[in-house]
Parts: sequence; structure tokens; C-alpha cells
Amino acid sequence: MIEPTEPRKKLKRTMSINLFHDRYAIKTKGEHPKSHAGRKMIEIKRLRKVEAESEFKKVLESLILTLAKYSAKIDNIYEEELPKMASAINNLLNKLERLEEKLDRIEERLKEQEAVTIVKEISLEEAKKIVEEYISHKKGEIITPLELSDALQIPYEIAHEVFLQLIEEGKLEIKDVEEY
Amino acid sequence: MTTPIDDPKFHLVGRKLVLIARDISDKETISGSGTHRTQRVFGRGTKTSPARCYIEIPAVIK
Repeated sequence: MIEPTEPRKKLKRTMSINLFHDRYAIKTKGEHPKSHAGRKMIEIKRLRKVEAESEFKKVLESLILTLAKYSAKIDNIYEEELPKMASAINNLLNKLERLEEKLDRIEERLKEQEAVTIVKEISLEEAKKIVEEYISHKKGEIITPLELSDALQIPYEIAHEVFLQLIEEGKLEIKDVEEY
Repeated sequence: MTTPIDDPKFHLVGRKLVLIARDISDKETISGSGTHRTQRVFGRGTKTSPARCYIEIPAVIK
């Protein structure tokens, strides 16, 4: 067997030490600082840390800038926009109040206005027939010429005339009613 | 037929009067008329179609 030379021995020893450290590094997830892989990992970690720090700084700077921008905007809103908005809202409220008043007045006028009654052009005889037919189903009820006029859409004058005739004929009887 | 009256010395009275006219005024409240407020309207007609006022009469159907 040939004896290994001195440098070869040293190399072997170094290799075995490195191998030991590498194995240790694998076991301890690269925590051993003396191992080759450990050193590499530490270097990578350091680089990553630096990168992360610089990235974080950038993000922080951009955040600060954005905050400053929005802070200026908020200040602007508080100082200029809000008073404008408040006055605009007040104007709108005033306009709404005026509109409500107008609407109330229109409603009142509409209530006051008379209901449109549509009447047919009809002769007295025809009207009398219609009225007789109408009252035939309502025996015992109290009726007025105005109700007849509205119900049968005939002119009030004719309804009144027919009413008087029916009273004379005994088909209707005048009754003093308090409310009608 | 009902008889029209155009003599100003007469007036119609009744619980309910029906006024038929070309133009009817807004109702006015007569002030100083006590607790029961009295109101007034007037109807305007034309020479050919004068304003008319009828006494409304309730009756029972027999």
C-alpha cells in the first residue's frame, strides 16, 4: 500500500473537516458558522437582510410621501373644500325648503280646485228613466239631486227637475236630515 | 219646471245650496262672525248663461 504524501494527507484532513462541518450544517440548517455551506448561508441571509431593509426603507419612504400628500389634501379639504361644501349644502337646504313651500301651496290650490264632473247631454225624459232605474235598487236610502247628478253624470239642473217630479209622483219623500 | 227668480228682493235659503256658474270665486272667511266662521263665495255668469243657485233637498227613496 502506498503511503499518502504530506499535502495529500492535509488535503484529506481538510476535506474530512469540511465534510464534517457540511454535515453539521445540514443537520443544524446551516447554523454552524465554520462550515462552507453555513458561511454561504450566512452570507445569503445577510444579503437578504440588506435587501429587505432597503426594500422596507423604500416602502416606508413612499408611505411617508403618500401620507404627506394625503395630509396636505386633507388639510386642503378642511380649510377650503369643507366650508364650500357646507355653504353648498345650506343653499340646497334653502332651495328644498322653498320647493316644499311651493309644493304645499300647489297642494292647497289643487285641493281647493273643484273636481271636474263630466255630464252627458240628455233630455229630461231620458234622465227621468235613468233616475227611476237608479233609485229602484236603493229603496229606503236618502238621496239628493247632487248625488244623482254625480252618480249618473247628468246636469244638476236636470237632476233637480227630475227629483222634484219624483217627489210629486210620490216616489221620493222629502226628509229633513241634519247632515247630507 | 223650477221657476227662475231674478228679482233681487228675494234670496234663497237652505241647509245646502248648489251654485252653478261660469266662474266661482275662492272662498273668503267673513271676519267678526263669532266662533262659527262664516264663509262666502260668489258665482259669475253671463247674460245668456246666468249663474244659478238651487236648494239641495234630501229625500228618502220609497
